[in-house]
Amino acid sequence: MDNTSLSHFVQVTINGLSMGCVYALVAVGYGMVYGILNMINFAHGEIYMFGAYIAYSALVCKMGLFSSILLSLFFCGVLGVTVERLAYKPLREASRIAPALTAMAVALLIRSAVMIIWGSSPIMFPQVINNKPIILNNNIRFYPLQFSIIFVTIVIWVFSLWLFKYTKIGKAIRAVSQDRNTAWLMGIDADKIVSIVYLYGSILAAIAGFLIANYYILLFPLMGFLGTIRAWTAAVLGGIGKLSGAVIGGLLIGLVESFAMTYISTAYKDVIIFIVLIIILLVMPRGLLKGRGQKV
Amino acid sequence: MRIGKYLFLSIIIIMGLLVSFNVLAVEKYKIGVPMPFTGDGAMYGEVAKEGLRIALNEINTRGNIEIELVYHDDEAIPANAAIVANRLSMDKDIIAVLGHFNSSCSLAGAPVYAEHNLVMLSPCSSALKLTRMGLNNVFRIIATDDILSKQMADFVWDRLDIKKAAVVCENSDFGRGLANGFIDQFEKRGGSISAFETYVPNVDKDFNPLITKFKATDAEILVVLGVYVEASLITRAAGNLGYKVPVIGGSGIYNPEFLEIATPEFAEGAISFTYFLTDYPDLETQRFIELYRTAYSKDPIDVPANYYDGIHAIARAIELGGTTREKLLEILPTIEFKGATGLIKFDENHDCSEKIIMKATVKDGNWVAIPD
Repeated sequence: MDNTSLSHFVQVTINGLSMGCVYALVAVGYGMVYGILNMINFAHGEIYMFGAYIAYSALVCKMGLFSSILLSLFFCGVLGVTVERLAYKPLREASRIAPALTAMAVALLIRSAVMIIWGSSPIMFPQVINNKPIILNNNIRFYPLQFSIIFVTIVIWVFSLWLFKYTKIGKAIRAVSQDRNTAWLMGIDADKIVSIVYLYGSILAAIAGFLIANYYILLFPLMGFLGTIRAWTAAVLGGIGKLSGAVIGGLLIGLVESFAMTYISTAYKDVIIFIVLIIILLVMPRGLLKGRGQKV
Repeated sequence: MRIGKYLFLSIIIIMGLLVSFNVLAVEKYKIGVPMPFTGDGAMYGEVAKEGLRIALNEINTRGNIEIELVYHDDEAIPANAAIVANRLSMDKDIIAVLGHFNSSCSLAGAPVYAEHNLVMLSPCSSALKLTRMGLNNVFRIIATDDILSKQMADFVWDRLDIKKAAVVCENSDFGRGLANGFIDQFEKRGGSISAFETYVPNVDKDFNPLITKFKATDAEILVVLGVYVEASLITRAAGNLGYKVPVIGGSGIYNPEFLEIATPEFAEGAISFTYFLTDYPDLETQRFIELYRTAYSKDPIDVPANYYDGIHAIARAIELGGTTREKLLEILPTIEFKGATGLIKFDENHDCSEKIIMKATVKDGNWVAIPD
């Protein structure tokens, strides 16, 4: 491999990693809610889309970077908990399919509301994060944004692992996820814990939304839905319900996509991604990290 | 007796009113306008409405006929276009259809309208196939994309003196049509295509891998065949990754939004082939631009001008006696007038193939005409 094709290879890897981290960032929140509540929250993508729009409005109103992010976190948290209370809680004892369908309806509602408030054409997101490419040589360039996405993904991953493993609330969450009724009997307020899970998931979604809006430059109402398709694939690939599985699955899909686009064909990248998914699931039916295979 | 007298008087007045209304009333016609009002194409739906509003005002104040537009959202999705086409066809009050916008949607709708003898005049769909399916109800206000893409290939070969091109198109009838036309002609002239890739419109937004791939080829120009949303993201990614080749595209990139999203720095020098230029010195064009500027205080792109001409073409045909779906099918092919986008005259395929294709380039952050 000569020097040019080596640096080309490095560039393709950087592209793949940053794409993969975008998927992982969404998949972490998505997979977490599934892992704990056994429910596919189809509205997760819409919440991250909503968060990005809130951040956009705040930035347009000349609010600072951090206050915009905080505002978006706040609104997404409120939205996530409200949705849980109004749409999912009454269905807790219903069959597993009912809350999934409700989640789809909630997703439609949020998307339509966003279309009414902000319009449906793509909006350009204000470029607040310095995104001048860092040039290593003519063939290797990366954006600071690509690295902030990778960095934030790792921070969220490590923080979530710590939260679930070592804190009291994390233990309570794991207890609820294993057996809600027994957790009740042990004095854990399961309803409160579920709300906390949604709050945390929505906050992760808001962070993802902000970074992804910066990365893709454009905001559009379908971004949430499209994002969750890849994120869901990532979660399944990595082992459903596993936090680390979501990250690894996301990274793998990003890399496969980047290499497929560059070395094979852009038109067939989705086909290649799903072929990889099928092969991996044939060999390891529960995903790379052995998630809750029997329940998928 | 008094009551009888009043009754008599009021009956006379009412009858008089009825008669006078009948004399004064102009015939009202409904025209269906199916196009994307939501999704990535929503911006086009909005500006098309702006062009239509100006035209409607002119037609209705002229007073020969009254036109009412019935808007339908096809979301730029062919499956939805077919549903919308069925709804419009079933509505017996609809006399003609001005649409669809996207080539793939027009292709889906055309056979449905044909079954119901309904004129479909597409203002923007350029896919060659559309008017070559043997349907006599299909018209369009522009030329076909093989004409445009051939001129583009000749321009790249002759004027820019470039022999190797990288082509990327949106994976739709519109993008593929343009790309095939360009590649055929460019290879015929002796050029070579270094890379040819596609993307999914409305879905793909990350073009760093694409540009990384192109960078490894020896292409001297980047041909982007799609609408402004993705074209500007591709141009921006090229700039960010230091891929310094000129960018050329169809009418889809002749748009101020392209400059904003791609950033003026990276858009500088981009070339667009379009049917409509604000610099074009034609009287009708300038009259339309003046009306548009007064109404919306901004410059029009090609889409509102195409819709403006489209609705005028249908209105003229109705005024000349095309008062039913069937009669309109006979009269519309004979229409000929100077519109905002040049000569509106349908050839034997029902294309406006005599329209002049113009070239624009980005200079100092603005679109300006390239002289011939």
